This record gives sequence, C-alpha cells and structure tokens, in this order.
Amino acid sequence: MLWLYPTAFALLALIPLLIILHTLRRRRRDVQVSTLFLWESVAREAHGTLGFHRLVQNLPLLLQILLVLLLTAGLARPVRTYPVAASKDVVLVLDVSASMQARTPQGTRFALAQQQALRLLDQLPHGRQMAVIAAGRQPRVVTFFTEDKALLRQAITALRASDAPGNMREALLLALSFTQGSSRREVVVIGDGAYPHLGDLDLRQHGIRHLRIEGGDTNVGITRLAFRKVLDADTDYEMLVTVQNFSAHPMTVPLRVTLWRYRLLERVLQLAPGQQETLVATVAAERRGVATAEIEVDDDFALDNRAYGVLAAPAQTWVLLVGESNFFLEKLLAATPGVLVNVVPGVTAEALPRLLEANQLLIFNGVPPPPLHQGNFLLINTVPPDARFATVGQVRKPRILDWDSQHPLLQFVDFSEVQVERALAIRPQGEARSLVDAEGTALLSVLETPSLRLAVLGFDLLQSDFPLRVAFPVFMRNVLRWVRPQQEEAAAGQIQAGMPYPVFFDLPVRQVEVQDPQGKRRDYTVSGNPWWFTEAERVGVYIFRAGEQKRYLAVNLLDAAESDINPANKVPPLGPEKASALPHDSMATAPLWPYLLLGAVGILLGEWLVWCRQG
Amino acid sequence: MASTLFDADFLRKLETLRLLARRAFRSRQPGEQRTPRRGLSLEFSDYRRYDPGDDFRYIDWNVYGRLDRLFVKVFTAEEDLTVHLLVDTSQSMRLGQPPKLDVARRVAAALGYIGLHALDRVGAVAFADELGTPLPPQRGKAQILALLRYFEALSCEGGTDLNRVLSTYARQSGRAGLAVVISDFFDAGGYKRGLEALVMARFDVLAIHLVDPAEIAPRFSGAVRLCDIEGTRQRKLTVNRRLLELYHQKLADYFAQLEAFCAQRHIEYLRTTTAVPFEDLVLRYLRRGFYLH
Repeated sequence: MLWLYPTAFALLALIPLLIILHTLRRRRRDVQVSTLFLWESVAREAHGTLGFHRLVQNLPLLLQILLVLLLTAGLARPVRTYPVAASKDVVLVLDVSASMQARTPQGTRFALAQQQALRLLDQLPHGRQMAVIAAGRQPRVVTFFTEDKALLRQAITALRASDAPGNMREALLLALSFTQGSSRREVVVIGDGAYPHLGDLDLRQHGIRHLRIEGGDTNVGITRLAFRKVLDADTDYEMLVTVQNFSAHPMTVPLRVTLWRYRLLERVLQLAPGQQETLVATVAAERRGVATAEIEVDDDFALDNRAYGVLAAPAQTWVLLVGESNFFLEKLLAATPGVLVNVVPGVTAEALPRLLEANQLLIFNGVPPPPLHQGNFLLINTVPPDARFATVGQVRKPRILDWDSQHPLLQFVDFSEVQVERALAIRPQGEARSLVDAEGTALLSVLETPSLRLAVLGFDLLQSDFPLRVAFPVFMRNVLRWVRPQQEEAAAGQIQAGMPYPVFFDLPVRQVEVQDPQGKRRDYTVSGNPWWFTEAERVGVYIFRAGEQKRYLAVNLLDAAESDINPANKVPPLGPEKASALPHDSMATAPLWPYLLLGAVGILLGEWLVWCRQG
Repeated sequence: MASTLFDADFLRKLETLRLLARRAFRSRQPGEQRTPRRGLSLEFSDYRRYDPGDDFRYIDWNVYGRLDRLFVKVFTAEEDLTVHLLVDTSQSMRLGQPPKLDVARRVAAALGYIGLHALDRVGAVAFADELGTPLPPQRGKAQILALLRYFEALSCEGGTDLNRVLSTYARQSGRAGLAVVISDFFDAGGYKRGLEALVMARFDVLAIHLVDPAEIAPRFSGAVRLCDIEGTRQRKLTVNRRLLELYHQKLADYFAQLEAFCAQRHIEYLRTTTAVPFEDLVLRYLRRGFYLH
C-alpha cells in the first residue's frame, strides 16, 4: 500500500488532544451511597465483564479516535497496490468473417468464439483492461481499452458474424498498434484460423495468442458468378459460374441457375476434394432481372450455397448535338454502343429543361448556349454566358504547354501532338479550371458542381487535327463516362458483401429507399450522385427505389479463400494459446480513500447514536 | 433538649397509645400486659390435664368428682413488658433529608416514651459495627428524660454489622421482650443471623426498615464515582436509564427478601422512608401495625 500524501499523518496529533478532552469530559462526580453492594451487583449484571464495561464506557472516545484515524488515512490518499504478474491488458481480435458462420456440433463457430471471448473476459483480473476489435472486411474497434466488464460483455455479445470475407491481416496490424510493443499488453485472436494473407507478417515475435475455434469441415461453395454482354449481340449475356468442393471427400452437387422463374442452367456436378468446376452459358435475349445460382447440398457453410447476379437492361445515353454539323463528331457518336444522337440547330433557354430530361449530354458545337445551371454539357468552340469562362479574343496556333492527365476527361488522352490553328482565348475563373493549358488560353476547361458538369473545348474541331488523332475518340469516350458513369457499371450491379457501392441516379433525388435481403426497408438521404451505399453487409439482393427509378444490387460472398472453411494451412504462425507470464511482477493500484471516507461516515453515525443513547 | 425532638402536642398524642405485645413475657413485677403464659396469676384462664409434678393445690377436685380425671387450673399472669430499642447509628444512617438517624431516634424515643407511660421497662442501645453503651431497661415516666437524652446524644459512626451486634445483644441481654430494631438494613454482610439470634432468645422483634427516598430513586446519572459511605470502597459507573432500572430491580428484590425473611421468622416488618413525616409514621403506620391500639 502506498500513501500519496503522508504529511496528512500530522493530523494524528489530534488523538492525544482527544484523549485529554475526553479525560476532562469524563471527570466523575463523587456520590456517597449506602447501597454500594447493590450497585456492584447491578454493574456486574449490566456489563458482564469489566473489560466490556470499560469498552462501553470508553466507546465514544474509541469511536472518535477511530474517526480521526480514518480521516487521517483518507487524507493521506492511500492506494492499494497489488501484483498483476500473471495478467496483461488484452486486445481481443474476434474473427467476424463469413467463415465464422460455419456450423459445428456445438453451434456456429462464431457462437463458440463469443463464449470463448466471454470466458476470457471473466478471467481478466481486476484492474486489467481489454479492447475489442472485430475482424471483418474492415477491422473495427468495438471498444477501446476499458475495465468496464459490463460494457465489454455487452459489446462482445452484440457482435455478429458478417457475410463478408475477413481481413485478419489489417485487424492484427491494428491490434498491434494498440499494444505498441508493450509487454504489459497482448493480442488474443479468437477465430477459426482461416486467415489468408498473413504470410508476410512476422507475427511470432509479437507473441500473439490464438484461441482457435474448431468444428465444421464440409463445404461446397459458389465462388464465382458473373454476367457480361455478348459483344456481337445487343441483348444476350454470357454467364460464368464456378463451384468448388472444399471438403476432404468427393461431393455430388446439383447446381441450378434461375432468373425469376426461368431456369438458365441446371447441372449435377461431381467434384473431387478441392476440385472446382467453371461453367459458361449464354443467357438469351430479353430476360432481365435477378439471377440466382444455387447448389443443393447440406454442408457446414450455407452462405456460399447461393449467389446472385443482376441482368440489367443495357444503358442508353441520349446525346443532343446542337449547332453546326460535324462529320467526325457525328460519326464517332453514332458508332459508340449505347449512344443515340439527335441534332438540332439551336436551343432556347425555355426549351433547355425539357431537353435535359430527355438527353444525358448536350453538345454545343460553335453555338452559344443559353445560361447553364444544371445538366451535362460539352461546349466546342464556344463559351457559356458565365463570368467563370472569360474570353478575350482568339489565339492563333497556341502551343500546348501541359494538361491534367489525371482528370477523368483526359485519361489516356495525349495532347502532345495536337495542332490547333485558332482557339478562343479563355481564362477560366473561380470554380472553372483549365485542364489543357496552352499559350494564351485554356484549350480545355471544366466546371463541376453537384448539378452541373460542363466541359469547354476552346477550339473548332475543324481548325485542328484533334479529330484525326487517337486522342479524339478516347476523349469522347471519357466525356461519355464522365457525364454518365453508370453506363459502365450498369451491367455489374453486383458486389462482394461489405463493399461500398455507388448508386447513380438519372435524375437528381434527395431520398432513396433501400430494401435489404430480409425485406426490411429504410430511407436514406442522398447526398450526391453517385450516392455511396456502404451497408451492403448481407448476402442477397438489395433494391433501391427513388421515385420511379429502381436499382438492384446483388451482394455475394464469392470468395474462395473464405469458403475454404478448413484450409490445409489453417493455423497461422501465431503464438500459443496460453498466456505467457511477465518477466517481472507489475503492480496495479486502486485508491482506498473512498472506503475510508465511507467508514468515517459510519463511525460518525455510530458516535451520534451513542451520544443519543447516553444523552 | 427534649423539645428539639418532640413538641408538647406530639407528646400528648403519644400518651394515648398503648403498646401491646402478642406474647407474654416474664416479668418480676406485674404490669399492664396480659400474657398467655399459664401460671400463677390472679385471673383464671383455662384447664389442662394434670401432669406429674404439677402443684396439687391447683387440681380442681370438683371436675375430678364429675369426670374421674385430674385437671389443674391455669391462671393468666399479668406481666410488665421490656422494650429494647436498638437504633442503627452507622454512617449510612447519616444519609437522607432529614437524615435517617434523626427519624430513627425520634421513632425510638416515641416508642420508649409510650412504653414508659404504660409502665413498661424501656431500654435502648445504639449500634453500628459494635454495640454502643446501652441504656438499661428502666420503668417509670421519670426515665423519659434520660431516654431522650440518650437518643439526643447519638451520632453516626462506623460501619454496619447487623449479624454481630444483634447476636451479641441477644446473648448479653438478660431479659427478653420486645426488640425494636430501627435500621436501614443495608449491610453487605447480611442481617439474617442477627435477627435470628433475637428470635432464638425469645425476643419479639419489630424491624423498622428506614430508607431514604434518594436510595429508592437515585437522583444522579452519568459518569459518577460511587463511594461507600461506611468504608473506602468505590465504584466508577456511568449511570444510565438501563442501570437505574436494574438498580430498582435489585433494590426491590432486596426488600422482598428481607420482608420474606421476617415473615418466616414471625418478625414484624415495617418499611418506611424519611419522606414520611415523623408524626404520621408514629400515629398512622404504627396504628396500622400490631403494637398500638
């Protein structure tokens, strides 16, 4: 025990003073009696023994001395020190990857892991702290270091195994950052040992303790499901599905792929241990919707027995070309799959909103546009009536100085050889910025706001050799992707569980309703386009609804490493299951003054009661 | 001197009282007391069977003629009564308001006065742990002054040893009679052997137990040092309500034991306190007893 303020013991000088005062107070009055023998009998009967009698007589003094002792001890701030040699603070890494849903005779692996974690918590000595990290796709700190066992228990109990592959590597690195190399802290991993990507980490030196959860070894899973459009057919899709046997014995696996009520594929696969089989099939014609691949086996890991895919209608981009006819531009747009072009000589400000609803991109070629506030625009050899695109005449044969090759518009676009005869002298101001700098002008400048995407090409295509170069179709493709990126993603509609997913809306929306695979619906506020959905945690089909717009998202596990619930090289090079003793005893402290104060209050109460009784 | 103990009015009241004894006592001269002791006397009392050795002169021959059996006449002898006034003068009698000794000697003087007026022999002796100088039994009203002087001169000294002094008195006294023991009976050594000695010596014993109200209900509390008034022993106590209740219980038990003992030994017992006025004590309490009529 330590005394933080030993000078407080000077207060013990009060005790002699108390005794003196008590002696003065206890001066007895002499009374002459004729019945002393009776009084002695009374005293014997009342007090039993002389010692007890004296004790009772001096009880107030004893209580007061005890009170002074307690107060003095409390003011001296005692702290209890106790050795904690056999214990360390614990960083608990609990595997919440999908493989923890594997079935064992005693329950799921995750349920066993939770029990193990709670046992570990119960064994945590007083004064020791624990932090909990959930090792899912992204490691998540559930609780930082705390002694509050109720809080830790609640946190551990509330955890659920995810449908996503785990990332034990990141979780361990995070846990090790907590320990900071301290010998007073240790990392305890509770999981099934199926942790890929740990090979390059030298974890043995960190003494990580691994509590392995056993059980469940039979699994056959769908590890790949993909759809892609057939290049030479507008509506057909190719389907690829891979099934792998992760068990140690051969399996007969009935496989069926359906699209709504239509059967796209039905096979019975004979899979040897470790064997995988990939099937490719064509999905014909106009069938669209959510496809489901399913294998009918009773194995220990059911999550990968189903996979989902979305066959969406091919996205079409409507482009309105306003102004002068341009051979290169029209040919290029017409040749681009999924792009439909209309040509008009001019657009008024009144007609602009209606045209924006019907077209995803408006190209003004040499024609001044009306004021532009929202929509996607490409202006060629013209500028909008906007102060941010100040024009000061023309520039002849401007030499290109630099361009921003990182911008989506200029990816893979080479301007080094492009020659321009005459260009507008544009000075982008404010939010507008130059992407291609030339002498005296910005040959390409852009303005990006949440509602407006505007690219200004400051020269006539026919006054340059730009249309003749490879950079031109690449640039136009970039423009189409820039103004409508969902066109590229529409066929996908499929992610791995736990991944974020961008949702694109053709029209601006403020709210979207999301229906999860269990059918529960929840509204989200849309903050941009695309809007990132980050809660695709469960395998199944998510449905997004915003007004009349509807999107499907298929969420799958599709991870061969995660489906391999009993890998041959299961136990990673981690430390032993038993805690290692510390080389030297360490001491933990606990303040004692609250107990002393409580005792003093109790003594004070007792003194008051004695005073009341004797008064 | 006598006037400090009794006023004239009180003395006149006492003259109307008569002492009676339940037993007959031997007496050298006939007195005003009738004793049931059978013997030579002036007044026929009863018959009894003849026993060998009886005086032939008292055989009733008329009865023998009718019944053919021998009976002798029995006469009641009127004998004078000797009153022994034993007054406790130990230190404990000093306590009280008024002091117990004052009450005791007034009561003793009153009884002696009454006895002398009834032509009884009255003697007195003070005692503490030893017998004091006795006033021998005397007859006649002329002895009243000496009796009062004797009581006037008493003072409290020494401890109490009832067993010893009463036994000694019973042994040394040549004439039995009525022994009036006036004491507080607070003797750690006990009182039984002394009172028994008086009874065995054929005394008629009247025990007047004189207690001060402060001894029945002590007026002190808290931290006190109790000092034995007759010795050097002391006891430190913190007197509280519980201890006072226990004391009352002990005192009641003590009184009950004394009273029961007296009843067993045919000792008349009378307990009074100094709070009772002296006149009331004599005129009321003694009238309720057996000795006044």
